Amino acid sequence: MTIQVLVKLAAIDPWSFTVLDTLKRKFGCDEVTHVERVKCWELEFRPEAAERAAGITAGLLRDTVLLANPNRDRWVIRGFPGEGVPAGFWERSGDAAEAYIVKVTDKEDLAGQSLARILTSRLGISDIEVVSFSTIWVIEMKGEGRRSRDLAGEIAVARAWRKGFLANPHCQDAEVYPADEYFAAEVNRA
Amino acid sequence: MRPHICVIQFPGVNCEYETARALETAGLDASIVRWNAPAGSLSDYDGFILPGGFSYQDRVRAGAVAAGEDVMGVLIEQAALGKPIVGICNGAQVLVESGLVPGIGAQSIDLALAPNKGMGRDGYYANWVFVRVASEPRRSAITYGFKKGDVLPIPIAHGEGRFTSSEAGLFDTLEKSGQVILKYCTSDGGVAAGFPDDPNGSERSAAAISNPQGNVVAMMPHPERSTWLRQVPDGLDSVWSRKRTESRGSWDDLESGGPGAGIFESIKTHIEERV
Repeated sequence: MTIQVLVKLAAIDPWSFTVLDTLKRKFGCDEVTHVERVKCWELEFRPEAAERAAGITAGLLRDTVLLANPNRDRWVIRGFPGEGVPAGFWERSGDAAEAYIVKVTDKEDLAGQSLARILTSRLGISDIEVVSFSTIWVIEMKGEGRRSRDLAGEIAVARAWRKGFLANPHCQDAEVYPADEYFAAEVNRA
Repeated sequence: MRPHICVIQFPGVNCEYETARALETAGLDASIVRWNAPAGSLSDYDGFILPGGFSYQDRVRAGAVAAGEDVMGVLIEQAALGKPIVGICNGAQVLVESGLVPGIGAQSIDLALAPNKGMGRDGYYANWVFVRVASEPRRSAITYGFKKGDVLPIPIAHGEGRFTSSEAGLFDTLEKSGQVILKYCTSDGGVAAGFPDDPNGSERSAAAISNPQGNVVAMMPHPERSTWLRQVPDGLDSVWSRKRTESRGSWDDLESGGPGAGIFESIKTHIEERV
């Protein structure tokens, strides 16, 4: 069973503005209207620990700043049947016709491995088998249809100078999904 | 007339002044120029340095935002003229993210400087390490003053310094073509088997890689922090450290050239011979 913790800054995120500015000024992506950055922790619990997963995750968020800092961040926990992203965490802006997410994960996920080590060796939590960390970029666009999907794909992977941006394919993987579908989908699909 | 080097100051870099001083000490003129200077004002320089630091706060990925700036388009043109372009640390990350290094395809991005690994934790690492000159002296703009096999103590300070590629065989190609310019090594020049001799898990222990022509070099170590003997710490297993210890009490000796000075002197020689 996987629990997903989506974390974003409570205040305005300057990184998102940098990405928006770079895409528009340097990459000529005039269709992009808004960018958001969401940190994504995925905690893969052992099957026998499924019932404890919610309590452990809530405890990590309440008693540590390993996943998120309550003074700085807000977050949602996903992974339970029927749980999508609560209204208010992300909603498409009024001027955006489409929104895609680009989920970027390091090929060698050192942040995830590091947290897994901390959970096991320092906190004694043995119910979590794997931790992975990704950055989700939500790209809102005023264009529609195929052009928007293609543009999201082009933005996702840096292939040459000013051709692609968010993931360097030599050390990172990028997945592209329609944002509405991604956030509505259950994390633990059968 | 002394060759004139442009030190590009992106927002967030922090090594531009000491880099300019190191260049001047090596007999070059240096001007610190903001990244958004008019493109036409850059073509008169004889070479370019992208100094270390944290351009754009390393947002998205170290070097990725700066790599998209207009000035990199100018550097792509200047590189084609054979002028030396050296990226140090964050500057190396910018060169890799812009495709100038290794420069095999038309600005295709064939490498990454990925997060450090191998030290038992993730994150930033700063220390003195040893590098070995792995190419022939005239192969790159930074090695004219050295012999192949020379060993230099030099500082590193980075969180994302691991040269890597998903392209099978790329590092074989780079090694065969002499584009792996510096390699991390042991104090006696031996192969760095792992941390701390190889501080970041770089493929082939690469510390500096050039384009095929050798005039564009991405190097992770900081030569401007080892330009003067006084910068070398006591206690390294190196002749440089012993020399530094013996120089105590003599300001002139302490102000003499350190192990990194040869990098900047090489850039001067490269310009005088090739540009």
